[in-house]
Amino acid sequence: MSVSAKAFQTWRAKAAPLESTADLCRLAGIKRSTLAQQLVRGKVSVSTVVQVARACDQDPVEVLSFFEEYRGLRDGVRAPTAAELISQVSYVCILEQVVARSRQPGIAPEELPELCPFPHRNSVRGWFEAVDPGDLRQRLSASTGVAPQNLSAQLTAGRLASALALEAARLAGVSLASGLVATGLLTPDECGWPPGGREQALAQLSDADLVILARDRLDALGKVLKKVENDEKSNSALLEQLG
Amino acid sequence: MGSLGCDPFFALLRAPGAARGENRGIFTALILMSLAMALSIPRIYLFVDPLLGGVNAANLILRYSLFTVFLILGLKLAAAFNAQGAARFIGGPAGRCVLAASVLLVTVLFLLSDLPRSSPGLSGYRDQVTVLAYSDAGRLYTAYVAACLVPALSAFALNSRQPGDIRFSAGLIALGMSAAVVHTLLSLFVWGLERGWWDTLLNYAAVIVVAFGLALMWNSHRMAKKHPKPGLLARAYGSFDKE
Repeated sequence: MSVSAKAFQTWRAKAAPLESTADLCRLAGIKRSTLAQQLVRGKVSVSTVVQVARACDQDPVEVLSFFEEYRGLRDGVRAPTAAELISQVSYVCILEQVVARSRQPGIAPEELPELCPFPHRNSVRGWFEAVDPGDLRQRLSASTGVAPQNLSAQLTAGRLASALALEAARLAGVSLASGLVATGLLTPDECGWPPGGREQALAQLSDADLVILARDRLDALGKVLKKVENDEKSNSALLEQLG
Repeated sequence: MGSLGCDPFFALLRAPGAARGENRGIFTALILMSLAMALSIPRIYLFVDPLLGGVNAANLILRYSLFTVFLILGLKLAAAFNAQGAARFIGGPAGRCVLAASVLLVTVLFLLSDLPRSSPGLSGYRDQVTVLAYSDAGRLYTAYVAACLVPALSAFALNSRQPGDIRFSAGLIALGMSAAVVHTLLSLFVWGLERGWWDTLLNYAAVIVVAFGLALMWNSHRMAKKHPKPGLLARAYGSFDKE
């Protein structure tokens, strides 16, 4: 979701009154033509806003809350839930935890294998499923008017429009910024995700729960891979016939 | 002239593979297609036909080779695109009946016509009813096969879940087959339509487009063999881990 160019200019006049547009773009690391085009069209993309806010040493969450579309974001930021934290651990890292706990009973937390950085490609879908009480797709579709198949397509592709991520968090009753962390718009630090939070959440899991978590992840992965494998098989059979 | 050039060229590209025993069916189809194209060219026709007795037997050979081309392409394409309906209609009793009827009709009408001297495309004998019926009967089977294939091919070309290169090739072949159907419908049902630009254009465009589509498939197959994709799991994990 973009913000209106007018609101952006108002904010900019307050936040960075001295910098020229060129300076701002250089600091934020965006192309001048990109920003110019967005201003002409009357819509500034939210990632531009975040980049400019970072360049001006301002808290992006605070800055976003200034805009109509993201009003209340700042006040809606809370600590992430354990499920959200765990959703940002890839299946390989979870398997590594299973292996580590199996090989060394009572392993010290600092000896556990390091978790991969996030967000990764499965972050968005993982987060959405972690906060979904069961009917989130339908409710999100009803409240935003975006078709359910469009939502599914975005999640499968590992994307989610910022407006949808925000609304999903609101409907699910979790921290409003969580979805924006999963989509990579904001960093975990900016949204109050504690460092080492994922490790702690995993440590809270009993051995049985950890194994069940690993099983569920492998189950989901297996389904995806099976589908890709079948598609590839039929395509190579096709080429075998004609190539 | 383009079609005359591209068919033998694409056939030659496949020659080494065919010598190794790979996909001789499509290779044969391309060779026969080249033969048919060559015989459509007056200069070549007027050279070849006298050698066969000068009674336009070359035209009959042209018809037979086109039937064979469409039989091979029809069966191969239906199998490749997993089009059970098309495979039944082409390889099943219905398809065999249409083929047998076409061969019989063409042969009988040819024998009934009075064709004492070589004439490319039998254009010198268009005042004979049997000659007109002969050329219409010659189109029957090709149009039948093409019409059977178009739905499955177009469906594949429009399916965004399939790989782009195969979709493009499928689209080209579908286009060529549709052109063949349209050509036949025009010449069969629009009585008194002057044989003009559409007669040549539709035919040759169809041949070029189909041959090009098949060549792209051949290339995709070669590429897939040359650069096998890394393991599915490694690919999936790599993409999950990407920012």
